[in-house]
Amino acid sequence: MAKSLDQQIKNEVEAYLGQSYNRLIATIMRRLATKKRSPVYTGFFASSWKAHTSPIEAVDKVEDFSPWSGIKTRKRKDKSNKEYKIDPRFYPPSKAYSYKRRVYIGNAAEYSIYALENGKVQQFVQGPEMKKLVEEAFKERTPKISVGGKQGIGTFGTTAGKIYTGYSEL
Amino acid sequence: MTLVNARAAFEKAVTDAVAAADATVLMKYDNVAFTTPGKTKKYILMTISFGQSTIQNQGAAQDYYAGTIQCNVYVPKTIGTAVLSSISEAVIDGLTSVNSSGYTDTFNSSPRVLDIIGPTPLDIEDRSHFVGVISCGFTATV
Repeated sequence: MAKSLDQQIKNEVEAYLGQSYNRLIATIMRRLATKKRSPVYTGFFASSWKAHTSPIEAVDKVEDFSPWSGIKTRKRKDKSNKEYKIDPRFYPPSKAYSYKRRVYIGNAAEYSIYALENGKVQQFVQGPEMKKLVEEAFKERTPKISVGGKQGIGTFGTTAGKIYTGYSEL
Repeated sequence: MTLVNARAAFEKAVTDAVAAADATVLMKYDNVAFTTPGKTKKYILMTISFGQSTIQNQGAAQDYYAGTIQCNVYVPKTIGTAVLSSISEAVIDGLTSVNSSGYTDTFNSSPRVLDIIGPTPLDIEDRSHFVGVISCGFTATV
């Protein structure tokens, strides 16, 4: 009996860790795919963040992927063209990852290494935002349940004097 | 003024270390207007980004700055990457100097740098310079 309780707790903890881990991965990918955290010209780089259990190979050429190939051509012809499109190609991740394995989040765009010069990615990865995300992801979550178990009387505006059900947060 | 002090602490630490290693390297800071140096010049562009300014303990908020420092080291391709490496080492020494026990906290900001990433060397086509990217997180308190 004691063993099965042990197992039950272990399963619950593992499920919680797995869920938190995958939520964190998805959140990081979603945030990276924004103009604030990725340098944007056509939007191909910001759209190419990918999660995998091995390091991401930066091999995708913008010329091979629509609509970015067209955007690049149009921008080359017209320097005043501000057009870009961020449409994450690998989000949401196609599978759930085990928290026991290392997951790499990298960029599949061929020229991704050059984006480091800009610094937006480092500001996100090494800055306090990432630390906060990790802390949030693995924070204990209590269920948010409010129970309507008391009577209240309104005191302001149109609710003044009216009786309503008051809720207590558990 | 503590925001200014925090920035000054890191900028001075790096600038002093770089000047000691190679006095011909120009320092450019993101908070000061600058023109990009010529094709033959060695220079460093230092960017400090603040991502957090306070922590909320019990009672009043306390100043606590956190963010990232990025130093892009630019060296003409004609000089070679060995110089890029030596300047990068000076930058890293400057950054880590604030963590040493003998550091004199002139700006009263208790600066600290976290793990330093880089120098990541970039050889970008059609550019006259090699680029080395060094970045780290930092904290500073009052």
